Amino acid sequence: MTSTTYITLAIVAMFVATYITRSLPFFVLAGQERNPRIHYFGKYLPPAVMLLLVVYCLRNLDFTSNPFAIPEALGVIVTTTFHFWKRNALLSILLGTLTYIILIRLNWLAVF
Amino acid sequence: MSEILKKTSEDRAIFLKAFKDSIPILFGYFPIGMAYGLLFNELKYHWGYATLTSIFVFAGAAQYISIGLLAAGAGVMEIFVTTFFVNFRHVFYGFSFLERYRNVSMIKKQYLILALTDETYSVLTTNRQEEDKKIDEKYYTSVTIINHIYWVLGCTLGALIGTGLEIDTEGFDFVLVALFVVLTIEQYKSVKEIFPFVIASVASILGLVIYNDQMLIIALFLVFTTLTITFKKLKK
Repeated sequence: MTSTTYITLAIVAMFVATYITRSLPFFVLAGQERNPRIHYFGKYLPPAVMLLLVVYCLRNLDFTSNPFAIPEALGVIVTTTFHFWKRNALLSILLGTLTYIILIRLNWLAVF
Repeated sequence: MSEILKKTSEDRAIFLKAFKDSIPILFGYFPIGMAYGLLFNELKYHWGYATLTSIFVFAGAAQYISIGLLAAGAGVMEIFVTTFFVNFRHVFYGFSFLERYRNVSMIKKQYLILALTDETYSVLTTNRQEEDKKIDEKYYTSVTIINHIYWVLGCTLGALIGTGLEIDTEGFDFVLVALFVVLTIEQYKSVKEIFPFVIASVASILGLVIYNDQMLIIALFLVFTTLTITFKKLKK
């Protein structure tokens, strides 16, 4: 398929997938809002999935060769610490990303 | 005449409140949208596709992940499934709005549902709901549209700028990791228990060990199964 077809189909696929997830409670699951099982999953599934997504993004980390995933690790640590401290999403994301960008551009070993 | 004037000044007040409440979202969506646009540019597609994506998908996390998938030439089915799982938490957002959106006209309702993102959800559930249903409807419609515009502008601008300049975006994709970390912490603040995170940690490790590349689907399955079991145990 041409690249135009590919990107168009990809956008359609993402649109449909997103639409299904967001409309499920309004159509298929309507009337289930007081269902205790839905409540239980609604309470514990989102936090679990969020952590899974973090791991998913980092699944290809290489700890055995330079830079030993230090930029990623420090980036996550900076983001986490700052967010627990100031609770400002934008700043936490900015600082964590900046940490990562700086570390991968320097040969961080040269810092020592 | 004065009735009409009163109505439009009331509408303006509602819109201004919606605008004010959405300002924090502006500061989030604009830079993150721009970073997405800049990264999207690496794919060498026309910047218009970034705009289209931000209009029809309107999901930051899924959009970021899609860049990696598109770059690797992943199958459309895989893109569909991954987007579904990344956005799965949105299934539960709608429950908070079943009553609130009940009497909205069909077309408007479809749009509101489609545009129910993490941020729109947080603005609408944090701020106190208006008593008057009509006023509330104007309010949340305004908030939703405003947030959507911010996002589309951010993504488009990022993609446009990227075409012009040769920006070295090495490392920018870490924005996604940082975003997920922040969202995870926010989830923790809301659920206040480590239980779901313990389950997720174990499921992640098992997923990585079993089949690193598909760890998301494996881990999701494990989490789902575990929660089903623990729920049954709770009911006893």
